[in-house]
Amino acid sequence: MTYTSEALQQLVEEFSQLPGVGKKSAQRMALYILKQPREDVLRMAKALVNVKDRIKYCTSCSNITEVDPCPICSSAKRDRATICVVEEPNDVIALEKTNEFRGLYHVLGGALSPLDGIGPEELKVNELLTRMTNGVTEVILAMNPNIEGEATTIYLSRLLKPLGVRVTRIARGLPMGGDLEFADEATLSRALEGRIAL
Amino acid sequence: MNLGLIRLRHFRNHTDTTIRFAPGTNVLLGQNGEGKTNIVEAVSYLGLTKSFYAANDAVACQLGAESFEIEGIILSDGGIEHHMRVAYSREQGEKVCTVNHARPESLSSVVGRFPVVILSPENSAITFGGPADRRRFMDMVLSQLSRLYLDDILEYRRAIRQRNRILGEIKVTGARHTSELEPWTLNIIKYGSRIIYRRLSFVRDFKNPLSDSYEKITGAEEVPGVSLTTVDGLDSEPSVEKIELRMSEKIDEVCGDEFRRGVSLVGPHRDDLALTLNGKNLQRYASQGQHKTMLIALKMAEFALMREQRNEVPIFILDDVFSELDEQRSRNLIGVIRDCGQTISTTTEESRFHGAIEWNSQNKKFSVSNGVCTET
Ligand SMILES: [Zn+2]
Repeated sequence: MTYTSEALQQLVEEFSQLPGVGKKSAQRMALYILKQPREDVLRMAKALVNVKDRIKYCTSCSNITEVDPCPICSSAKRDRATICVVEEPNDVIALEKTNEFRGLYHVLGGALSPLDGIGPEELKVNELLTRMTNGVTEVILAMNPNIEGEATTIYLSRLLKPLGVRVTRIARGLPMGGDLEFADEATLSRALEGRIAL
Repeated sequence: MNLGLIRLRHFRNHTDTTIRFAPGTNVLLGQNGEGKTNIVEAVSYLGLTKSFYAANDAVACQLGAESFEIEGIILSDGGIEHHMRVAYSREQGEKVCTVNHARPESLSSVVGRFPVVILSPENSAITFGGPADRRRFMDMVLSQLSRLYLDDILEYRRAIRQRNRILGEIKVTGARHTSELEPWTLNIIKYGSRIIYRRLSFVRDFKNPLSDSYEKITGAEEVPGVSLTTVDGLDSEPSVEKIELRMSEKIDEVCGDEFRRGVSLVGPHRDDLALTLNGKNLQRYASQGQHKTMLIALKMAEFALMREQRNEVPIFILDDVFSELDEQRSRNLIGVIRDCGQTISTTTEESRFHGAIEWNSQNKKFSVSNGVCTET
């Protein structure tokens, strides 16, 4: 497609790089931006740059943070003997909302998936093993309820068990085909209570 | 289960077609290419969320249309009315399904909610084709019988692809990342054994309906047989644990071959549903006519099994079946479908139904011409 403006064409191309955005949606988004007041567009542009400039990864748990170590890792109120391993920063947000978990987190950055070229080296697995020396007694594996999550759970439990820590996984609150939304808070709280040893 | 009404918009050659079906026998009459099969294909979208033969949704969009939409009003055997809608948009490349105006958690969760059995010449691969075609048949039936089976199949397929990727790397590089392979091996054993267990019990339940059905069509000329060819060394009714154990033994045995060939060699992805007539292999010895009869018997047995194991009588669809049969077998089949609850048949030969069905509020015929359907 050819546009009458090079600036517009460039913006459409940028938007169509975003996950799940096709050419037509990108065009709609670009035209929407064009109609917004200048200050709104500036605020949005600044927000884009800010996430790159301000956000870094916690050197301890690999979660995203503006200060290193992150507020959870540096909080005196958290139980430092328990680490909950999750795939993505979103999972930390979901679990924090339940107000059930008082330990620390470890964000792997994904799950094992050979098809996507993701092996143990692509995840923060070594970083997790390094943390096992600091008086950690329990590791809760809270991977997503899919086959990649299961494989990751198996892989990590094989590595962690010989180190003498208690390894548990969160129980699936519902079978995968359950009718309720999987990630609602009630389900996650139940799943945390029902964790089982591996 | 009863499909009271279906509406097709911009679906194949139907711009906007609404049909009110009768609760008994429904016959769609018309020449080839006028749009009869498109109507039963739309019914398949409501039951299986997809076409029973076309692999992609885009081809079902009417020429020049951006999207298609299929709506159905379905009355459950318990007397509850359900609204179902499947819509596909070319631009989004996405299919959206709603049940009673709400989005289900996934498309796969809709499969089987509204059970259908489809008999069509497109199914001939079940008897003529390879093991993959017969696995597809089993999976289609079992998925409609059990939601967990469908979940297991989807997870298993993914686990096999993941495991094969690692085996492929081992084949190329020679390096044995066994610690990375192990989680996937354990997953295919876990899901694979549950799938084999369900398939074995399916085959046991399927035997009697299959021979009953075959007899109803032919009048006891031959005896059909069915069995599952799967991981060897299992007794007749093994537990899931026994199957797990056997799978893991077999994987240990063949691991050298797996590394050399770079693919998974043990598991239900290599199963076959072995079909026989009078104890002889169907693929090798049966005539064209025997293949056709076997296919009809398989589908009738599928219907009987679903009726027995589900709380809903499925809708039976017979697409272009009658013209392929001789007069006597065609009469026998019409006799069978009169007792099958709601059926929808398509045919070019109205004469096949003369005198066999009484046309009234229970049984209706429609003529389909150039994407327009009218009751006659
Ligand atoms: Zn941290």
